[in-house]
Amino acid sequence: MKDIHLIGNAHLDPIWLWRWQEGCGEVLQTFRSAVERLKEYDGFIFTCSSASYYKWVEEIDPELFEEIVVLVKEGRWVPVNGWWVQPDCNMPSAESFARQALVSQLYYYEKFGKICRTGYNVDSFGHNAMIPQMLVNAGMKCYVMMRPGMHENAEIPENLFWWDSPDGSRVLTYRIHDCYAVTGTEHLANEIEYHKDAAANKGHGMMIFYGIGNHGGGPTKGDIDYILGLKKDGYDDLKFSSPDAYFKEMCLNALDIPSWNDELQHHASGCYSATSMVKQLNRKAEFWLESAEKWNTVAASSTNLPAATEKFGDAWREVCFNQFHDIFCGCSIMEAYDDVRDTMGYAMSIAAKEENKALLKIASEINTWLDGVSDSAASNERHHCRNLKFPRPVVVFNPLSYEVETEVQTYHPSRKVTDSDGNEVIFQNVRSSRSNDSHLDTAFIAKIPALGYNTYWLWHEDSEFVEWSKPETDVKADGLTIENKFLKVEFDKENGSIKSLITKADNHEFVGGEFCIPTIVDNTEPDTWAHNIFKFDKEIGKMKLASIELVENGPARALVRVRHTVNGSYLSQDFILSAGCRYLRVKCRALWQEPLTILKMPVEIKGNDPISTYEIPAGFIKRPCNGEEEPALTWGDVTADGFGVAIMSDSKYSYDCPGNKLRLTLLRNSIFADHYSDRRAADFSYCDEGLHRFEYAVYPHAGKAEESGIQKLASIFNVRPVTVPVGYRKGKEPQKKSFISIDKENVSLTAFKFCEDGSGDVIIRLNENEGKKVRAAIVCNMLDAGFYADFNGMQMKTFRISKADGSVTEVNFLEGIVL
Amino acid sequence: MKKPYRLESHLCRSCRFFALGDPAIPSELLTAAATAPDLSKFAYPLPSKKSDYTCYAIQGGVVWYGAKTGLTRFDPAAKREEDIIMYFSADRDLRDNNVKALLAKDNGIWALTDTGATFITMKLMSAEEKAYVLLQETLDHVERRGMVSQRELKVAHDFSSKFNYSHSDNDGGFSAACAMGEIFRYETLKREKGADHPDTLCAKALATKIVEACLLLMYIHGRGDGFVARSYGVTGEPLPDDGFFLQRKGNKATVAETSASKQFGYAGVEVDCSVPIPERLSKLYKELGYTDDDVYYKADTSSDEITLHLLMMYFAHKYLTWDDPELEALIKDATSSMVTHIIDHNYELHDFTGKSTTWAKWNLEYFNTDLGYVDACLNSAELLSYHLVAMEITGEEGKFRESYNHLINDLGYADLVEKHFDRLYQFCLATESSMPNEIMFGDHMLATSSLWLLCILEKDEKLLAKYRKGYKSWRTSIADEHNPGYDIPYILSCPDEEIDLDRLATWFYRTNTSRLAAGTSLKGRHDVAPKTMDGGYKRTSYLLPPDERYISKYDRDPLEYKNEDSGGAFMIESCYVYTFAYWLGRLNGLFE
Repeated sequence: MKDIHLIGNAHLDPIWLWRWQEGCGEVLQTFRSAVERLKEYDGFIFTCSSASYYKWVEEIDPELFEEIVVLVKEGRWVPVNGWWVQPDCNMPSAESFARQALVSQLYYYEKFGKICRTGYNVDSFGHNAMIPQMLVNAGMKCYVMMRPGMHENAEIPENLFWWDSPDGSRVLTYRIHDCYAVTGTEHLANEIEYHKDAAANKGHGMMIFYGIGNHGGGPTKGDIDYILGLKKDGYDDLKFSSPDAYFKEMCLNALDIPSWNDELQHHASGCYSATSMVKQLNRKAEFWLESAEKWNTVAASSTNLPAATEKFGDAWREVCFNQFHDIFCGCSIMEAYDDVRDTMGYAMSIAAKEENKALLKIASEINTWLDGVSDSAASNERHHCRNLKFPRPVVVFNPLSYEVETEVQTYHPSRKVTDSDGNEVIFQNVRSSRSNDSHLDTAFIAKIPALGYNTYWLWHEDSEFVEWSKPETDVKADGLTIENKFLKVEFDKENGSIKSLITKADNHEFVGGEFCIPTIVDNTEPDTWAHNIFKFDKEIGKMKLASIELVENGPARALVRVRHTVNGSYLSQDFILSAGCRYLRVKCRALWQEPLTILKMPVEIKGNDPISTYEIPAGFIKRPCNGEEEPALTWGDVTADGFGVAIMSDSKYSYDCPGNKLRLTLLRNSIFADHYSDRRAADFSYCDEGLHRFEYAVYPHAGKAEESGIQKLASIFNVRPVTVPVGYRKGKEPQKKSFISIDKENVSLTAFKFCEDGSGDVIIRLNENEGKKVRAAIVCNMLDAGFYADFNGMQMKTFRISKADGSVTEVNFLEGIVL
Repeated sequence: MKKPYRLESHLCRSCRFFALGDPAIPSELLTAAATAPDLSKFAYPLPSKKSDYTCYAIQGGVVWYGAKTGLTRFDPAAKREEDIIMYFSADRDLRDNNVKALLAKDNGIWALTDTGATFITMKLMSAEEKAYVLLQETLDHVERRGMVSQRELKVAHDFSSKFNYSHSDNDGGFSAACAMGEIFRYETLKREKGADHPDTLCAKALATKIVEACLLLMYIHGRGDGFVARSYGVTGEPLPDDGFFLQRKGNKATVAETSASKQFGYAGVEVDCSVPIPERLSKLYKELGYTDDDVYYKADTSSDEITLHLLMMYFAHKYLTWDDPELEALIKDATSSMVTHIIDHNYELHDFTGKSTTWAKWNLEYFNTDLGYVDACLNSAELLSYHLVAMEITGEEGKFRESYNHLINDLGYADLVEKHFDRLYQFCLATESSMPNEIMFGDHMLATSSLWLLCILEKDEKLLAKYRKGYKSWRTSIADEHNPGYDIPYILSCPDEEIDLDRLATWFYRTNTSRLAAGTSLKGRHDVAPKTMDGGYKRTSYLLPPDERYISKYDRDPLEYKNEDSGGAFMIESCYVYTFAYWLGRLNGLFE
């Protein structure tokens, strides 16, 4: 029971201070070395994570792989962590964690006949509070982690503890004492002594992870001989072991250990913001792949379009790989991000192509025929190839599981826009990005059903066959004040900030100080990771206002453009308030060339006892407003006295909240892979240097953040409807249709895909996101399926719909392929 | 205390069955045309697969859809979400599931199936009316000499075919639970109508009788040492081949021949039974013409029985005995004897064998075994609660306080109470199983009983905090049941917590008006997504309303994916499942 389990392992960073090609070579060498050690030493056991490494070996050295297969079946080689890599454990979405498990555990199951039962992210820089749920849903009940260390957070239990996530999932967790790569006689001796004492004090066994790591290697002959020598000398409590065996043994005896029901933070707080490019690519790829796969599933279920499951698998594997902690955390070398750009591009190219095929296929079934449209037209009836006598149809697709009403934009200016029922729609001709043709596009307010489409009809601006439409709108602008039926926003002409933000329903003023004024913070001391630094609070100053003007004032939206500068850098922000929209969208363009700086965007509210809330995978978390840098997914929020402001973003993951002031970290310009600020003179490259295009949004609300509808709005903000111009066609499908109905808005659809086993069964994954127990009714008439499910707060559930009869079973991330 | 939740009158299903050829079946039903409904765009999940629907009938604003796999009632105007779609199936609501024709007539719906016809009416009934309907059924068909557990039928569904005897391994525990429902009813009516109101007196008489029946089990063995029998029977009632039974004769009781007694070599063993049974209790069988020598009692009593008896005794002492000193004296004596027995026998209940019974062990020796390691958290709570109850009822501290302090200060029992979820989860990992598989759902009632007592009787804030923490550790599985019988004691024990009273209202509204354990048909349900757990155990994707899931006592997983339990249409269960929760909620002002 109090034995010391010696876990032979090799920490392998496939990318860090080297590119992936070198990482791949390091994996091959390490695996070969481990096999040799296993042949040489009978009792030796080797533990290794990350399915992607096994895949490399299988493809490049199949003979070696066959040897490993045999060793796995003998129990001497133990795969752990049923994920593709050891990802960053804060920033991937819940669906990404599901895919990490899906692509990996099925691979392990196929190759080794079993899945991993232990999660193992020994180097990841902090762990979100929902990791237990992600593991349990992937068939893993135990977990090994190391960061943060005791010196970074001593409140988290030491060694062995129960870890609970808010949905009710639990994993038995081992926190490595100090090092996952113990090697050499002295180091081993010290660790053994420490762990013997710890075992005696805690009353249970301990694990030591030995073997050269980071750049691979694994246990050396010297390490193993030293351990064998100790055992010969009477150290009977030392045993070659694996995490699986350790956890099993711990559970067979009386165990009195603490439990923990919070996140495991902080280690490297700079990693939530370092290298904006990789963050933006990840966010975009995650949502795009989710959407594209939904549309492929819809199209392949309702037309003759084939399923693209394997292609999506390829794409997700790239995304999962790039979620490796040293990649996603932005702390690898500059050259590595060229590879990231290429591979994420590959993934998104698959998303783009499959989405396009699916949407056109679905659109081709829609009845858009207008009698007379095929008759010959006089020249005054044509504009380029467009018939001016008739409106042109565009189909707007919404991949989200809620009805969405939002602004969309499409090519060409218009004179009138109507929906599929013939109702006039609010629209506005807005400046396009091109300087050609009319220079104008049409922005209109579309309402699209859940996982569905709606068809809109646009009369070209040049058409003489229809009157100009002037639909009623709630948008107004006056000087530097813009408003709609929900919000009134007033800008400060002196510094370009927002000086008043009011929700009209309750006439509540939200501005309590600095509000949307770009703030520069010193970043000299922190390294790329920000090791040992948890607050970015050394403010240098504000950017200077260069210009501010009302650029658009129309029925669909009002737009105020604010431009700030500092030295040779600028930030241009388009504050856009659309008709009927509850939040203020801010479209940003920044040229940044300020070394060792951080650019933050604050919103400061009024009130007492503020609490900050952030989206984490599959849910949200409340954190104290202590100014520490915090990770979040698509939104963060500060609320006080029953009123709060959330900031949504389309590509950022880092916030702080000193008191009532929530600040989104827009840019963090560190030197690439600057480890402990050991900066020997060079012409440094900076990871956020250059041009950045991104968006954020400001959402004022009453009540608690999680009950304000923020998750839905953040999804709408991140996942924009796709507008597809279509032709005139006699189709069998209506102009407006939904492919799924989920009756609770706090239950969202994160996956709608075909099962990986090729059966044609459809997998749907749902996630409660307000922290409430709820029952949802899900109806998918296309698949002849309809069922109810109860959810715990923040719980993810996966269901499998039979192709044969529409019957539904509940499964986990592994889709019922592995029980 | 929050404002009471108002339980409205609610529609309850009532089904009458007719064999094919019965002239009562309307001829229009037999000739009704079956037109399949168009459900292609139906907005709600349907219990049957759409292509299985064969016919429909409209009755006011309600549409009834007949399918090959049961009957669906669709009320788009239903106030409560769960009432919009209702499912009726065999063999509780239909004789079989192949609905071939429907006919709306006489404020009800006739459904023709392969083997008969069913006439279904939806009757408006208040929660209180339902409590009385269920109680009456129990009194008519289940109760025997004050004991209330269950009753078997010779012919399925046919109440007139019931056996004239019954037996359950947990007769004592189930009777105690039923007694509590009646004690709560009595106290509620006493407060609302006065002590002398006929309804109050009626409730008191019944509560007293069931309490006496439970007390009888504490004396019927004639050992005089605080032992408690599981159950008893009398001459003419067949002795079940299920455990150890002792037949009384004079001053000796002899172990009867059963498989178990023969296996363990106890058949024919004689034990003393010379301590007289109090007349007030023995009248329960003597008034029926039986003597002490007609009695055989069941031994090998478990901790389950002890726990429920002591909870019941606490409430009987609190509410029932204020004007009945004789009963109060019996309760004091029985409680004191029982708890003294346990203390004096190293925290075990000792059987006629001189050794512990199989499942009544609360000492560290047991806790240090594999099974006891997981049981320790529940059993420590049980044992501590016994001590508090004994002190409360007897008004004496002495040995009870001394033992209680020993358990807490020397043996760490109060700390063990908090470890339930940890140890259960550890057990799952050790056995490579998963949570629901390893949960003993019957333990939910026992945990509720003992932790409730600990929370209301312990005055020390530190200990109270431990007990509340222990109680909360059980909520990981108890809360999913949404059972008022569990949730009301919890909120009374942990007032800082919240429970969803509206969700509990569903339980009251949708509980059947009969406790006949006839099953439902899950297999044909298209709107339930079963989840297969480790070992093949299946659970439903949502908690079905009580009238659409199998009928059981407080001892099963209500999410288990199965059609029926405990004898199906051959078994009538006790009303206590409903009456305990209803009257407890009323008494404590949670419902009106």
